[in-house]
Amino acid sequence: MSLPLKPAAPQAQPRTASVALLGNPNAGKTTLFNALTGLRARTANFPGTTVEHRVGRIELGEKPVQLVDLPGLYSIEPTSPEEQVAADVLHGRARGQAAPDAVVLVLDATNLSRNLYLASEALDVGRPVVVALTMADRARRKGLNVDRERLSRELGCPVVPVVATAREGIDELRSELAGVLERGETAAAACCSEIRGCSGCPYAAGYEWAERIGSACVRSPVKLPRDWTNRIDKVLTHPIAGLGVFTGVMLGLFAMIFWLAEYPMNSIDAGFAALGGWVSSVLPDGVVQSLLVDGVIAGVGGMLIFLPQICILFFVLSLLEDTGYLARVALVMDRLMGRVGLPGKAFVPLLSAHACAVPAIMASRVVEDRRDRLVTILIAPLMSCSARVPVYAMVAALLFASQPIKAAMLFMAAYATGVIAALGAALVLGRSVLKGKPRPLLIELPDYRLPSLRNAFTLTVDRGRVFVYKAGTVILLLSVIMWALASFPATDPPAEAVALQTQAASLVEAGQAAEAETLLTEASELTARHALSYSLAGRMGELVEPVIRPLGFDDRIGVGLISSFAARELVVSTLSVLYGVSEEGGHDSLYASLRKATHADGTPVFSTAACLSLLVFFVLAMQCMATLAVTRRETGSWKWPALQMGYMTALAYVASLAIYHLTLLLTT
Amino acid sequence: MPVADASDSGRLLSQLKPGELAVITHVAGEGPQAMRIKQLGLCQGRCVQLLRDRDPLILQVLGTRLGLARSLADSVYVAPCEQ
Repeated sequence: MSLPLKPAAPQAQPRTASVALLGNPNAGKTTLFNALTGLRARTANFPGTTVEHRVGRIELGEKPVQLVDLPGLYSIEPTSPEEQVAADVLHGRARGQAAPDAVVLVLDATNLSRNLYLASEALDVGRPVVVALTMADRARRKGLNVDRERLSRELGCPVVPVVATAREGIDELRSELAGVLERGETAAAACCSEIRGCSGCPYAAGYEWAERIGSACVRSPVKLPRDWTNRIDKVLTHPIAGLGVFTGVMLGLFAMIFWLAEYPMNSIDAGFAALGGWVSSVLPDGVVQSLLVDGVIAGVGGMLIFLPQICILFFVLSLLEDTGYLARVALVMDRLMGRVGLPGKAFVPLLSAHACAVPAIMASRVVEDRRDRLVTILIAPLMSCSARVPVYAMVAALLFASQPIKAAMLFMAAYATGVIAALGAALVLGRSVLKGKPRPLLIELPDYRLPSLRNAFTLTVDRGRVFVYKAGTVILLLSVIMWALASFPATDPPAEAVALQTQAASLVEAGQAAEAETLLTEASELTARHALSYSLAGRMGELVEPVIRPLGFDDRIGVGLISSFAARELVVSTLSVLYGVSEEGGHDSLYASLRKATHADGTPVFSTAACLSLLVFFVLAMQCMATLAVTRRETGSWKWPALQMGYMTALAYVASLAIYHLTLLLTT
Repeated sequence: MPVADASDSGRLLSQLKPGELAVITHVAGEGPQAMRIKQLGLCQGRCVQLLRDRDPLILQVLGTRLGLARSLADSVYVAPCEQ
């Protein structure tokens, strides 16, 4: 259902008018969009693409207008999916999206010549245009004097200087926009089609024009003020000093998503545990209670637990991006990352993946090229995330109970294995499924400037919302499925447990409450173990046992692997149920009883070889449905999460098999 | 066909010294990478200044700094600046 391609019809239209916001990256487009719409904006994908844009409604007079924020770009000649989408929208070719009735062209007053190139292309499209001349304050500070009337005359459309952060000029922009929409007149620049018509490079002609108009409309001071950006860049792109600052900033970012996020995460965890406890106390025991407590409440909690890391990561990334530093990070890391076939921009998402793959995959959007982005997303979950730490801690305690140095080395080896596997996977993917080289670096290094808290806040809210609505629903659904697997078919408590309970009842009558309590705990442990073994998850554990036996795992570890799919750290609590340890006993008693656990033939289950095998499996395997849900959301198809799951599981299996048998060879 | 590469007008952007100014004479190639270069203003007639000669290069064009992989800079030909 495409709408007419002709410029906006003169008569009043019944539908909501739409206005597109178009501008270079770093031109202040997002700030202007936020100033125009406030927080009343939502994020949507362009139909049939994974390219996101923000849409907000603004009132112009009485008329509601839909404001569409197009991806920031330098040209509407498409070289990337973003530019393709923007060009399609402007020309009214986008599916399900009418051509905009007007365009707000965002031009950075401090950087007019470069920005005017996009103007030359945008004016050619033939829509009504209003120019928003952003960063008017910074231009003043730099001593640049933009001749607004002259520019308006040259471009053939209204020009409004704005300072979006201070809401200066916003009202005027709105009234000019209303006027342009009312009249429906297209911009009448005397420039572009004619200069482009003749032979030669259209870019050269466009920039020729842009530079001519730019220098005609801007009066620069005779004496340039100090160029702070170049001075700062001398330090920040310096081979040694730059690396120092870089390490510091990245450590800070990592510390924030790793440690700072822990406090809200613990509160969320405790809050949902308390809620679950409360619901259990109000509702009678049974399927409904179990579904609500162990399925829904645990599922919602297990999803929301990701929010603190997502929010902190995007808040900090937005601030870093606004200052202009992220562009330098991409520059500094480009050659190093290039060795494994990744662009410099993939560095920050991959670093973040050490806290959690979910926000990392969401942050992979900074990587423009689709091939590069897919490689980044596919390898991100190999980085050791914080959910693996309890598992590493368990294995370290089993192997090196009172040898902290060896335990620390084991941790380091686990992290290193993840990084090496990820880089190796990037190399292999780049030579197979995602053939190609990373897109060579070409990036604008904008002037350093103070970041906008408002932009950071808006982006944070937006990312959090996208995660909860788009990925969260899938995660919740999968949590309920995991609950069902562990709960059905239901079974009666085993005879031993019933016997223990009767015994406890008689002890209570005899006034020995403490002894009765011990027996009851034992009974409930027995019941839980019996129920889990009897459930589908338990049977699946038995089913996979022949497959995982070569790795040194028994069927109970198999159940642990299956349940850890809901969240990796759950393997620890599952094993404690299956190997019969009360939760009150704490980790020490868990480790003690795991060490005592034996196979049917009397050999220990958690031998050195089996422990190492379990560790390697957890480093490499894709056991996180939240990650799969987010990969699905960010790639737009189930193909990529399926590949991610497939290659990581295969890699984990082979590596565990190898380490198990190698260790057996060396220790016997 | 832009083939006259080794001539006097055929110095590469990547061969400039830090601080040196030059005018772009042409960009070799027609593919998407060449398009990206031109879209950012590295096209015929623009004046550029090289700020850093380590890969990736940093250069100034049209009042802004660009970071550019040497492999891309190798397809940009420059001539001495008249001014």
